[in-house]
Amino acid sequence: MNHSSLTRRRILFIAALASAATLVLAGCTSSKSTTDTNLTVQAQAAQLPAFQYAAKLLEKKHPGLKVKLQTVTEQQETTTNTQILASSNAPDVGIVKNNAQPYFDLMKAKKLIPLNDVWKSANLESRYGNTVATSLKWNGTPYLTMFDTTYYNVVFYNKTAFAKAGVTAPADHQIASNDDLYSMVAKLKTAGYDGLAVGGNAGYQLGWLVDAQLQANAPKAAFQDFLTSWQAGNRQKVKYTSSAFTDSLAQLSDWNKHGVFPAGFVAASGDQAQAQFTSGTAAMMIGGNWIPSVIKTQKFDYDWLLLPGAKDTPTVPSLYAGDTLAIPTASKNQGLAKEFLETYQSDDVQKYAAGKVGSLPAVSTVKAADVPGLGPIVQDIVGYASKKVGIGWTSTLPGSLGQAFVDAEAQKLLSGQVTVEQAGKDQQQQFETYKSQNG
Amino acid sequence: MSRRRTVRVTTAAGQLWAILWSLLAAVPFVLIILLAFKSNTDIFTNPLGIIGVEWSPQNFAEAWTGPPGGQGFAGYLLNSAVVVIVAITGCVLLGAFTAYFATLASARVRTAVIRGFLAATTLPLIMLLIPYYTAFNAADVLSQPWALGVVYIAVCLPTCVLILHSFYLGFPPELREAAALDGLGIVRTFVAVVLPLSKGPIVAVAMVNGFFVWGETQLAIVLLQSPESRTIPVGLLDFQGQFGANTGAIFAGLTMATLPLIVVYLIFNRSIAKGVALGGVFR
Amino acid sequence: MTHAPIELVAPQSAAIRRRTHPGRDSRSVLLLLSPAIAILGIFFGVPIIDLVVTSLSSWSGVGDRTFVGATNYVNLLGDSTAWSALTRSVTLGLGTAIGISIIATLLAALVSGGIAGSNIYRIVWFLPAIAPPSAVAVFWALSVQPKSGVVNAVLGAVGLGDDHAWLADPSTALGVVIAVAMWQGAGFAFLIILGAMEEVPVSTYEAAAIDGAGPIRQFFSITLPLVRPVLAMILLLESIWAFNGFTLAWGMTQGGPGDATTILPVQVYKDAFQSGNFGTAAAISVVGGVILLAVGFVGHWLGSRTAVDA
Repeated sequence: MNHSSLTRRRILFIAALASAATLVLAGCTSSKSTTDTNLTVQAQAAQLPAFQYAAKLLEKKHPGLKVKLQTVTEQQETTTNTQILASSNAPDVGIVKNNAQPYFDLMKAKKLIPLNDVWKSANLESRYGNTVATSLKWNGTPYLTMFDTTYYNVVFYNKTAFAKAGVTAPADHQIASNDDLYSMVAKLKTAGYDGLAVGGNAGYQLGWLVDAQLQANAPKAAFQDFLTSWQAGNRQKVKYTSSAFTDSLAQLSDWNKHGVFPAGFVAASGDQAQAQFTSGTAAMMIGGNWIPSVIKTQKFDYDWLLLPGAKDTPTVPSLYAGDTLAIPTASKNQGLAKEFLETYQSDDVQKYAAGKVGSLPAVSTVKAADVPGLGPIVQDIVGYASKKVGIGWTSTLPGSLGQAFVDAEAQKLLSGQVTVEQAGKDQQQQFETYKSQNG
Repeated sequence: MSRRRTVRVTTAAGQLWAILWSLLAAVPFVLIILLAFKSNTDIFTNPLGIIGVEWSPQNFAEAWTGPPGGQGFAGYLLNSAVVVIVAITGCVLLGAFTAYFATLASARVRTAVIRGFLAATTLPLIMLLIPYYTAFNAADVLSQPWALGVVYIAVCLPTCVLILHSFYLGFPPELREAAALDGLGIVRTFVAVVLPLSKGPIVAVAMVNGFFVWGETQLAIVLLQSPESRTIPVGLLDFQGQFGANTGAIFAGLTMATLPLIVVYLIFNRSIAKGVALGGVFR
Repeated sequence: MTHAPIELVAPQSAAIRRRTHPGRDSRSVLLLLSPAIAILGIFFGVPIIDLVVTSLSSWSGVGDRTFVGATNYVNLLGDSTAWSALTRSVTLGLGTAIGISIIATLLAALVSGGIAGSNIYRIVWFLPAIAPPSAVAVFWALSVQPKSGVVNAVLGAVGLGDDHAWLADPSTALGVVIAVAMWQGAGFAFLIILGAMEEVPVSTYEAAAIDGAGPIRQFFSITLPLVRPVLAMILLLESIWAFNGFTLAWGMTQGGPGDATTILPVQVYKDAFQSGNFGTAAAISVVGGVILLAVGFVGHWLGSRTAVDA
């Protein structure tokens, strides 16, 4: 009995020591310095050099300020970032894409601060342009600033492959008709190349194709309705079961039937599709203005073109104005956070970003033509898009209704699980569920 | 005579299947290492090619420096080590402790405890994300690898307890009674007599849970926000950009992450096989 | 390695336990068990309660929860996506568990039967369990791609054609996930079953051989019945783990194509984090959890009964 009480005391002592040690450890590792101010900013890995540049500019202005950059992954941005930005330990500046779920959840819970003053001092209303500025506002008040713009739905093609297959590049970057597309693909196949590499399982590339088709095929009024009927208070005038929507899905199905895509593309990731292009297996790939900065020089020359629409109408590059930043209400340094946003909007940082990481400037005061680092292909695309550009439907709608949903639906369609009519019905059903939960 | 022939035929077919399965088990590791040396394009379009391929050994250099924004593979390695050490030490010691004393309890208590742990294994990790995040946030221990280790102690505890409990059920009671006769209390008995004899199963359980914790991503990515606190699998995720990933570097990183596991396994593998077999698990 | 005599290794009988001092030790024993019970309560009990509360509310993940009663559950009844996800999880769980059990039993039979090279096999066959699931997912998703993937290359070399798009075909995508889960889980099950097989004393086999039973007959009449409780436990654990396995399915296919591999955890993830419907996600989790609990308790009860009978 003496032994057991001794052992018991020993155990208690060790337990006390252990918990004391843990507390000390906790104290050591979570100490916050009281002299310096820390600003925490979320950033995407690809644009990190530009964020670091902006951070240094801000640190120079405010001695004693330390800007900490936290990288977030694409998956986090569309999912768990909601909880992170709503928590009491939120970063001071967060990446809140305006077409991803976190934006809508955070706005409903009123967890972001309005940025009217930032917009005013950085003159963003005019530097963004009317359409973009409206798309970034929530009921007329801006809560977001944009850090770059992106053009997608641009197809890159392998010039050497085209030459070998005897395919002439389309005039003015536009494939005139679907028949032209099919004959091109047939010639490429005879020469041993696959047609258009698309990452069917990337989670967004099939949605891109739908965007380009909707822009080209849907009547103007119907397209406008698709873009706005999801908003609280608006009523739907054109259903997703109507041909205005399903024609675009049918176009993808037709392309699939004519063998435009490589085998197994429905399960291919975006990297897989890109690898098919860079290895010369597929003669074309879907992409956007970032592609030249990523694939750089290849063993072959490449250029860009646009796909045809359903009734042989031309498609145009789609604009993505959704790479946006916001400030959570929980931020303890809102003033400095706003300054960071303004700094990133400055022509200086925008020009640096365009040259260093290949992202297009978010503001109209920096022209792509002024940034030689972008390269001739990108400048060509931007020049074209300045005259003919489209709004992406998946870039505007909340992800659960737009990008995430229609991409999965298109996967089902192209792998034979649903018909075009059923896909339209599913989209309409999803819309009605969304409306019933969100007004 | 016919019996011997049957035995040889069975052995020949058996050997064939054994070799096939061994190839199936081991070749992917070789391939992963091979892929780690390839360029991003070749990984997808020419994964098996060896001759005339453009090798890309800089994948390893890139993986070592880590994705932009992080602090390099060495940092991730340190964080992973902290997490695993905290998690496994706590889980295995507490697990063995609990599993042993559960055998000493009355049948009612024992069944209740085991049922409780069994119920805990049915909970999918995905639904624990939010409560854990909220709790971490409230306790201000976000981005602390040791705190994540404590969470893993809890997450791994059920399997530890269930496996070790079955082992202790078969533990010879004579040893315990001999120790009691010598005047040792139950705890002292555990530490001095039982623990040294359970090295095998403990090593087995430690390794199985260690491998799990080393590669766990779901919880880690939410609970380790700041780049300096990230473990290897979470850090490697940053190689996935917005529209494309540096797959070569990811494979190189995964190779570097798996090699220490294979080394540890080869050193301790006999303990695993012995530990799982000794005393019969799951009686 | 000698086998311990059966008597010493038999399960505890109540008589032996009664020889100790129940009254006194029970108190200290309960005290000693309390840390683990506390951990169970804090880390599992509280979140489960939180989960049930969420399943009775409508919640976007931030802000306040709105109590809606059983609406989520009622909606689930008519929701075909949730039912499909449940069915897929059951398929994955059963398929993986049965596949692993069969393979592991065969492998263990080979090694315990004394096949040449057993020592090496013991080491090599556990290797797949070491690789992190994320690495496994990335590697196998790559390897089943048409034309360029390893699997298709091998099939092509053997003459079975090399452009099967396993992951693009909704009817085979889940099969691929099951196959990979079997690949990774067989090693652990193999060791456990082997341990149980090696418990059977040599004398039993010798007696059977004298009676004229060949090795295959011995396997089915002696080995399998004695290994049954262990086999049952492995079947149970592996099916629970496969049912709840998120990382592998998400890593390989992200639930695609369409929702061909959207198992329950993937559906929960999509509902909660992609659509911001935590109430629905919690309700699905609770339903899945209840099913698993029922399966688990029944399995454990069956397993412990068989042991006592044997």
